[in-house]
Parts: sequence; structure tokens; C-alpha cells
Amino acid sequence: MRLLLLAVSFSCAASAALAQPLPPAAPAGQLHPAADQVRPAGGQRPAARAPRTPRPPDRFAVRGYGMAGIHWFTASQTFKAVTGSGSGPVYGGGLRVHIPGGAYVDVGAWRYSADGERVFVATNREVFTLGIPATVTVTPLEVTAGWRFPNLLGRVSAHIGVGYTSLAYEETGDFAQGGDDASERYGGYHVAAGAEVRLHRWVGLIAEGAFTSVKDGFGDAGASKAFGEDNLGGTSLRLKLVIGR
Amino acid sequence: MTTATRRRRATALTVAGLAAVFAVTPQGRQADDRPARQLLQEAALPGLDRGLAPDDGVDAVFDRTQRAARAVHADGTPRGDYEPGAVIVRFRDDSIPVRQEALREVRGERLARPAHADFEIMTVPGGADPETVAQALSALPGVEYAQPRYRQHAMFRPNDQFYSFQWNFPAIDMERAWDIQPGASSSVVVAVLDSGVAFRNAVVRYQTRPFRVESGGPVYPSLGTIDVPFAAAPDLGASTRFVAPRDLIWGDDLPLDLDGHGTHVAGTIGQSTNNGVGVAGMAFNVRLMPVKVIADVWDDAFGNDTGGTDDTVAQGIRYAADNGAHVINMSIGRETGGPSPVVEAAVRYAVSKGAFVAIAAGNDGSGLNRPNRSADFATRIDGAVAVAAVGRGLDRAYYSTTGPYVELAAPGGDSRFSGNLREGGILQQMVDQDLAATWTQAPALFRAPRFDAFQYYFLQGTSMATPHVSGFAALLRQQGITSPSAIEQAMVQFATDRGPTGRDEQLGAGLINPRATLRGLGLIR
Repeated sequence: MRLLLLAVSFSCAASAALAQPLPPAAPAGQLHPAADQVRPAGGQRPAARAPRTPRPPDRFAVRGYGMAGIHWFTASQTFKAVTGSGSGPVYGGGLRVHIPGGAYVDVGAWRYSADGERVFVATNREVFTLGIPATVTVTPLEVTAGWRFPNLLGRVSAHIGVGYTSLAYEETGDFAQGGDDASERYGGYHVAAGAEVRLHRWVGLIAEGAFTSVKDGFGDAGASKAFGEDNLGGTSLRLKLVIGR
Repeated sequence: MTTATRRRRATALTVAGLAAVFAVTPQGRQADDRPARQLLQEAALPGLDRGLAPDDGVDAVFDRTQRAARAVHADGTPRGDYEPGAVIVRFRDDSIPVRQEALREVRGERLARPAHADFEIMTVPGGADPETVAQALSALPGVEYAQPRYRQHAMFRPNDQFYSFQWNFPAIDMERAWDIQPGASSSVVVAVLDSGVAFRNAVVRYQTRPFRVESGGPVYPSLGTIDVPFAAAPDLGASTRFVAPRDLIWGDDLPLDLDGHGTHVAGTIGQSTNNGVGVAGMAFNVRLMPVKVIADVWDDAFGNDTGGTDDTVAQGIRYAADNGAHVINMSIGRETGGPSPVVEAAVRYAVSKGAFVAIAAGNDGSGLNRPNRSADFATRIDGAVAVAAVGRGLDRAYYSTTGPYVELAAPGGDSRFSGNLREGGILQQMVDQDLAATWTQAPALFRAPRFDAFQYYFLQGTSMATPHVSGFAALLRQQGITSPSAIEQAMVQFATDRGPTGRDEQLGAGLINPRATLRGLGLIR
């Protein structure tokens, strides 16, 4: 919940920035065009057209980011049965490479981990918790390629992307012996879209939504089979604090 | 004791084990017609534990090492699991060339020394067999030893004196199951609908009458008025374990076991365990509710004709359900006559009250294979199961009745597995048959019985299989599966398929698998 509030407050901050755009920062070495203009007092001349703000040069850039967010699992019943919730906080980080011309590549990983207990699921989907501690950890590695739309609104730019997800899945529980715990890697895809606001020359904040689909083997056994849920992916809302120009 | 006597007694025991299941007789009298019996003393001398029953002509005592070698998981895979992808290795010579050679030899990936260790963990490719890798490493001159990372775990192995004879528990992986759920608790009540249970000390005065054990057999004379001592079975535990006892044969609250069958069954459900004495039971912390619904020879000899009819059994089921039983064990039934709607309705009632019901499938598998009429409806009730028996080889026991109503299987013993009951039977404590079943001896030696001495006997039958399921149900209830239908579903879902592939008429869904069931489900495992 705290994370959700954090996410909401970040989103509000981003929204406020959208509503009241600050003057664009002048590129280094350039005077702000407005500073060069001297207006005659009381003059009745037609208003002069404001000169266009020059776009910053679109250049190759590598930026690192840390990420926090919330992830809603598609297999919500399965996760809710074992961990008590179908969603949870995620943390991660990665690198984003801006390619001149508008493309970008993002390589990032995040992690979800929750404790719960093992269950039995009756045919009517009633869940009986068994008091046996269990821990599940999901660590997706995402490689995303997409397109940026810089300076869409002042200092705000947007992006969309699609990519491959390699998801490491670990499940451990008490009284486990050979083959009882799971350590698997599944493959899938994701799509992502978001907006970035530059807070500082070197700092930006990205709000991003993503949908991930991982249907590679999940649902063959365990509670996921009992619920007929075969997708380990989900929908997430993430905030990325970007360092770099 | 003569060989002939031993044979007679052995035969009588086997017959008792097999036939007590079907002791329900069609004739009965109203409760108010029952003969009187008088409880003379509330207390008596404590029961005498006379140890293991004498060998029935078989000298071979089952070897513990042999048992360990045969020990398998319920799914049939051998024990001895180890962590893949790594081995433990200790070098004689810690020099880099030796270590590099070792890595080269087995295509090892890296070596790391854990804390508090004088050995190292070598990571090897995931597909490599750690035992093979360890062997190869051990052959290197610079290696002192190498071994797979065998998994260790707590293993509750009861210290009861005769536990080594109880193959039935390792056969269904109970030692690991007890690690998860050690015997349930006193909050779970299991009703034993049977010939009674040796649950208390008492001296009871009976009027006897002449009787026959079998049609055409010798007539045993009346013994007049006799005072019969009873004692609680020493290994069943304190009297506080017993709750709401009821005798529907005599119409009172003294469900004393005049046969031994019910006490044997109760032992498999909840025998005191890990007390260094006797044998172990499945759910050794539960409370037991003795409900006597079938009669035996002595009940008849003491003048009671209420042999235990369908209505008596139905009454017992309803009594147990109304008095808080969470599990009802019915190692009883009948194979003659038509269906038993009155028992079916009672079982439905019990399930509706939250009780899980386990019923013996029957012992007519080597005969006419007639269904147990007190079990053949079980598939129609979620929360009641009909239980078949497997022998030590985990295949269907020769006597276990087959049919579409069979839902699960559990160890019930099979004398044909190794040619005798001592290796293939289910061991539990019951009243000493030498002192109790005096009618198994020649009429000249016939005397008043006493029920205050006990021995451990090997029996076989679906009667013996059923209490495994009842004890298992008690463990599941304690673990958190409280609905009878869910208990049945869990047992069926995790059962180990045996016999013909898939659900079949021999063993139903298969052999119960308590460990896997109690551990339940994670997200993907």
C-alpha cells in the first residue's frame, strides 16, 4: 500500500508537471531566446511570434534507472491462494539506450517476492491453507525495443515498446525434498508504454505501464493447474528514476 | 502350547481379522430386550502388555536392513535424493594445479568453500549425475573424498519397540508425513465403529449361556455367572483420549471390546507413538470415540442377540456425527443381501455434519467378490470413501474386493506376500487371544475369558486398511482441510496410481500418499 501511495504521489507529481510546464531548459551554451527580446513599452505592434524552442540534439545516450512499481498477476487466483494477494510490489533496475532517430532499447530486470503458505484447492476452488510456509520469487529479465516521442509536451516525452521476457521463477517451501521446490525459467513477451518527464538535466522520471505474457509451462501442476491459470505474466505499473541525459 | 493349538489359534485370528468385517448379522432385538450386565467395578488392575504374539511357526524376523533397502516413496521411486549440479569435495592437496585438474576431470565449473567447512562445493553442469562425478573425483590422487550433496531432513521415526515390524507406515511414506503433521491433536475426534475398544478398566458381571461358534460345531457350555476383568489397552494411551463412548449392542456407554478387532483398528488410527512401547499409529494425538456396533462370540455367549444390524450401524454413525466425530472409521460391513439405504442415509448425514467416513471395501476378492453393502454407495457421497487393501508389495491384497465403488487403497496386509502374516500383516495391539478367545481351544479347556492382557498381533483385511485412511483424514483435518469432500478430493488427487493405469476397480485412485497430500500445492508444484 505504501508503494501504491508512492506510485500515486509520483504520478501526481508527473501530472502536475504536465499541467504547468516550466520553460524548457536552454541547451548549454545558448541563451534563452526570450532573454534577447526587448519589447517597447506601450507599443501597439502586432505581437511578435515566439521563436520555436530548439529541440535538444537527438544523440546516442545510455541511461541507468532504478524501478519500483506494482504488478498484478494474470494468475491472480493462484497467487492470491498461496501468497494472499494477486498483486504485489516489484523492484528492479536496468539500462535504457537511446538511439539517434527515436528508437530505444531497454534492458531491465525486476523482482517480485512474497511469502505465503501451501494450499489445497478443492474442485469448487475453495482454498484450504495448510500452514506450510512457502516463498515465491519472480524475476523477469526484459529486453525491450521501442520508439520514443521526445518533447511531446514540453519536457515530457513518451515511448512505446515491445520485447522478450525471460522469467526466472523460484518456489520454495518447508519440508521440501528432491524436486519439491521449483527453479524454472520461462519465456514470454511484453509490451510497454509510458511517459518521461525530465526533472533535471541528468534526472528523469518515467511512468510506465506494461503487460507481460508468460505461458511457457506455467499451469501444468500445483495451484495454477487447479485454477486453470497458465499465464505467469501480468500487468504492471512502474516508476523509473532515470539517471543520464 | 501345542502346535495344534497354535494352528487353531492362528486360524481363529485370521478368520477374526477377515470375518469380523462382516460380523453384522441380520437378526437383532430391540434395545429394551437386551440382557442385563452389571458393571461391578469402575476400575480394575491395569492391562498387562504381554508383548508380541508368539510366532505362528515362522522364525524369520524381518530384518531392519532389509526393510530399509525396500523402503520406497509412495510413488515407487527409491530414496536417496541429492542436490543436482554440485558435489562436495575435499582435497588432500589444496594446490591450484590439483584443483584445476579436478575441475577439468569432471568439467566442473567452479569451487567454493562454504563457511564452517573444511571441504568445498564444486559446481558441475546441471545434466551431470553427481554420483558419477563424485566417483570420478574420488579416484583422483589429490582428492580425499567426494560425494553428492545428499539431502538431509528431519525424519520422525517412532521409537516404539515393534515399529520395525510396521512396514505399512514406511510403505505410505508416513515418516516424512509425520515430519509435516506429527499425529494431529486432541482437537480431532475419530470414531471407531466396531466391536468396541479396550478403552478402560472394569470388572463386569455377565450371565452366560451355551453357544456354538459355528454351525455344527461343538456346543460350549454355560459358565454361569462370571465376573470378567477388562483393562484399557496399555498402548492406546490415557483414558482422557477417549470421548463419548457408546455401546449400541448392549445399550450403554461401555463399548468394551470382547473380540479384539476394534482395538486393533483403533490402534492403527491412533496408537500411542514414539513412547518406546509397542507400536505406532497414524494420528497418534487424536481422541478416539469407541462406538460398538457389531458383536462377537462372547456377546452372544453373554446372552446378547443384538448382532449388529444395518440399523445398529446407522445409529452408530449418527451417534458419532452428533457427538462431534470429525472422522468415522467403519472397518465393518456385510456382503450378503441387498443395498443398505439406511446406512447410506446415515453416512450422508454424518458427512453433512462435517465428518469424513472411511469404509472397508470388503474381503471377498478371492471369493465371490460381492461388494460390501455398507460401502458400495461411497462413490455417491463426497466425503465418504471405500478402501481397498494392498499387501507389502503394494499390490492389491488377494482378498480385497474389487468393484466400481472402490476409491482408494491403503496397506491392509497380505499373507501371500511372503507366505505368512508375520511379514505381511498389519501389527497392532489387541486383547490376548489365549485368554480372551478361550473358545478357540478344545471344549475341555473352555473357561471364562479375561480381557485385561494384551499382545501384538498381525492381522490382514480391508478392516486393517481402512484405519490408515481414517488416521490420514485426521491428519489432513489438523493440517487445515476441514471439509469431508475436500479431504476425499485431496486423498484422491495425490494418491499414487497402482494396478491398472488410472482409476480402476481394484485400488480406485490408488494408494494413499499422506506426505504429498499433507504438503499440498504451491503455485506450480
